[in-house]
Amino acid sequence: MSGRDSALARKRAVLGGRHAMLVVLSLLMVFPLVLTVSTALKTDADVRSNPFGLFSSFSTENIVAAWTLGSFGEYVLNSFLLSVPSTLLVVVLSTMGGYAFARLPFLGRTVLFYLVLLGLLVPFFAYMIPLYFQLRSMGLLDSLLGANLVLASTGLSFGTFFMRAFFSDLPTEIEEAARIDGASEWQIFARVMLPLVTSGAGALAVFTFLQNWNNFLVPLLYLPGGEYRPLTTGLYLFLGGRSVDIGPLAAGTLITVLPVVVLFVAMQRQVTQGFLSGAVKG
Amino acid sequence: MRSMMVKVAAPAVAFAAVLAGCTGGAPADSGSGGDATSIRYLIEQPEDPATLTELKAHIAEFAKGAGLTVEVEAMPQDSMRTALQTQLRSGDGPDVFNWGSGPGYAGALAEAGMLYDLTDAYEKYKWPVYDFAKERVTFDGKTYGIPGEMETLGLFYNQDLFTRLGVRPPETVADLRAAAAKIKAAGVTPLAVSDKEGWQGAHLLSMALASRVGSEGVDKLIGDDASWDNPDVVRALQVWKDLQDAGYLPTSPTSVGYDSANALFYSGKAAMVPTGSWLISEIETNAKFKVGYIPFPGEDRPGIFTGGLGSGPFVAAGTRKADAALKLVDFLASPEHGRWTVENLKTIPTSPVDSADVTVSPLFAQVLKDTSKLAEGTGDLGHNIDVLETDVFNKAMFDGVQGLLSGQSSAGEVARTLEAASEK
Amino acid sequence: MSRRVPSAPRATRRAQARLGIALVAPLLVMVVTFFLVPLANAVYYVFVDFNGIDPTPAFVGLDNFVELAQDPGVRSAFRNNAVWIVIGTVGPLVLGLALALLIWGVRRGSLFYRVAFFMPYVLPQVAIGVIWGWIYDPTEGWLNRALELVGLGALTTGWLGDPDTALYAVLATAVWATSGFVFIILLSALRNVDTDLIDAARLDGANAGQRLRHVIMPQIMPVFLMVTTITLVGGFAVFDIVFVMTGGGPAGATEMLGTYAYSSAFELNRISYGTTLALVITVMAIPFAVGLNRLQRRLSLQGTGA
Repeated sequence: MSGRDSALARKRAVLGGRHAMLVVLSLLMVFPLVLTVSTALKTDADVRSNPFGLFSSFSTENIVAAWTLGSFGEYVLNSFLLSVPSTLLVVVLSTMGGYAFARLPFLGRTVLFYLVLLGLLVPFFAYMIPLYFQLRSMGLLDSLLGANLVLASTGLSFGTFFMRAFFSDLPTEIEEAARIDGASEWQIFARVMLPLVTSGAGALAVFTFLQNWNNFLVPLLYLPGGEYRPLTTGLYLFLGGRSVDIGPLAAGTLITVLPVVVLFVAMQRQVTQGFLSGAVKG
Repeated sequence: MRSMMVKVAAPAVAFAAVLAGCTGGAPADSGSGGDATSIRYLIEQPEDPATLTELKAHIAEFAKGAGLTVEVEAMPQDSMRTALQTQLRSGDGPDVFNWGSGPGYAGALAEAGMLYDLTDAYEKYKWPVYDFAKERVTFDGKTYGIPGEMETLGLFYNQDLFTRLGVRPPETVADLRAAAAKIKAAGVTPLAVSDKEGWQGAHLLSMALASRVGSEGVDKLIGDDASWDNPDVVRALQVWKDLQDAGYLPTSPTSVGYDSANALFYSGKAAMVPTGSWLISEIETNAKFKVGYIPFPGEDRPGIFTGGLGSGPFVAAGTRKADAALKLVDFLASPEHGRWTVENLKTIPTSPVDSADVTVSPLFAQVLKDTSKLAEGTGDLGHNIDVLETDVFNKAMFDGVQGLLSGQSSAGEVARTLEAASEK
Repeated sequence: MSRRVPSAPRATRRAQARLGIALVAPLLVMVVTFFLVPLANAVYYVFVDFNGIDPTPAFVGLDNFVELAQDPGVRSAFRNNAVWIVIGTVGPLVLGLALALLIWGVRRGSLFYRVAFFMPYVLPQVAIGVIWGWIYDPTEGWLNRALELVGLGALTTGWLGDPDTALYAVLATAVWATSGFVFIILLSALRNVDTDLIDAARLDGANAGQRLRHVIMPQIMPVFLMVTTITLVGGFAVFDIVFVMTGGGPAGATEMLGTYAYSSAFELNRISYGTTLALVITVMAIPFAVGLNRLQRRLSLQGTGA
């Protein structure tokens, strides 16, 4: 790079301008979220009289109202009951399948892989209606099991694709060395290869969890009874409910997004990686 | 009818009505087994979870006395639409279930042979159901059920505000416009009309139409003896359009949600709200002023209330426990149960209730009085169109009124789409 | 170069095949049961008239397609959807690219900016719909109040209930939510851009626009096309956010093919008709996906060759 002072000064000025713009833009981007937090934590009276004031008062009354009257406490639990098992299922099955598709030659492998990949091309949307009737006839409608299986199945195509990419990147030498040492194929998979893709599996887990947590259509369609209603559909109902007081609504929204935000901020790298590697390797 | 409407409008919005804490039972195999005194009673999830608890306790009390076991299950209405018919077909259904009257609901089930004929039971038990209501559950000469609670549509108005502004409750559309002008001048929105959800459109049209052509006129339209594409329908739609153009409705009613409109009324920012009798208890809780309830005005004479029927009990054709089922229905049709629903659920049964006997608020007492006129044959009551029409028609009606109020189509165009939809 | 195991490559291969099938089996069971079977059923529904009740619906041949072609509701949904696809793709691409270029090379606070820009994309669409729903509220909404505050009260309207603004109001929300995704992917692509080339271009007197067009864009083009594909194809199947914010209203002003299919199937019990529409949307999206994907592959091959 050039070491001339004027260039440096110009660079610095440009950088300063950039920062200013970035700050403004990022504030604009997070503003709706800030608004939610602020409104959720205001007193009910303050929400009504001074909806513009940010953090102009503090009260947990809205949170309490949403949690108890709005049943958001229940919804949180249901969201976990729907997201955790389905995510585990996706990670386990995708890892197994991804490994097989990447490293284990068997008859029909390519065809089967494309069959799984078809799920990336066909949106859920195209088969959600017949799936409703299928679940009903299987007795899986309105059950945690059914919703978890569907949620998992919607994530499997991407998961398999994603994990296969990780396994494909591993050098063959590792595998062959283990084979010479007398390891069985299963041992090679479980003891040698698996530990090498934990970061990938972790990224997939975080990514899938977010997708399942945020999923709206699956619980909307396949859990009509309301017993296992998660946050997404719960919030939607609250929106159309009788008491659309903005305070509790904001609190409900906050409860819905908080786990997502926390998880995202904490595991920012994994989440981003999930979106990136899957997409870029495509 | 609100809940019914919502459900027709959008299955998911339907859940809205069910808001919180659904203790809803899973359908399927709760198998009442071979015990002839143990039956299943499936109802729609009430809006307020507490209602379900009360109702269950009330029925349990009856069951105990009658030596029966009644398992009450609740399901959101939209799920019921699909689940019920499958259950009935598979023989795994409830013995007694609540369902809507009219051709779109009970009529469809009756046609499919899934309803137990109650004609003889009516003879035997002498259920005192109003004739007009009985008609709605009678298909091909056979009576199939007890029509559910009645609901009326009209205008709630802020009495205190009316008195303060020297406005009298309007009887004709001209009165309404004059009153609205005064109210508007005072800085208050005259009519809290909302149509964001879309189903309100059916109510707006129902009331304007009934007050214009009377119940017979509406009957003709629904019975396809008259075309929807006629000047009366166009005028009924135009009444609302004119009120909007004069600035008497909130700006852009299609952006205003039902609850927001009600909130406008409660807070005194709007003087009238056109909706139904189901809102009474909420109004009483929220409005800090005296509230009156009048029919929507007619063109040049006082209007009439419109009425609809909610869902009521039917017996499954495939029940193996008809005796027990009939006992339950008999109880549900009884005056005692009727009075209980009036007092506890604030609903109006389709059989006479001795109003001297019950303890209710003045506003509700007025609604009771209005509806009981029907029994005496002295009052006319229009129909809520949506409960008598098909889903296709209702969607056209919801979209049509939204189109009208958002300036996308004229009253004439809406009437034409209604006629087209009714022909489908 | 590989130290072959002389003993039993065939035995190894057999063991591999066995394990492979065992590992793939549960995955396939899931995919077949919850994806392929319903998809096959969807295809079957297309040719019958299934109302959700009748277990043996009548065969109707191509009637569903014929009706689809003549349905004015489908046409207007198609128009709305086309607007959605164009703006909903171009908007996030432009905004995302701008954000990525802006943050490119910035070290300090970059994590904060990245989190802030990407955050909307990870939020549940329902929550987004709720938050923006009250921003757009006609009486209590922040947007109208803000407009009044700055003296633009004349512009206030019921954003989601006004047929002239509803579609664009929902779109603006979607652009807000999707830009972060484009941003994060383009940013990662920018990391691999050869900065020496840019410096060289600068020395040659190329201005910022020229550098972007001739130096930066060609290098990130494969990734740019990939993210275009994802956004574009997503636009065909848009559902959640419209459903939550307007439900397709007022009077169909924001109806998309997806919401129309949903309401046909679940509100009017026209299961077959709704399914037909859903499948048609899917098939319509495929050429775009495949075309862009091909283009992207070709470009990235050229890229590695150069």
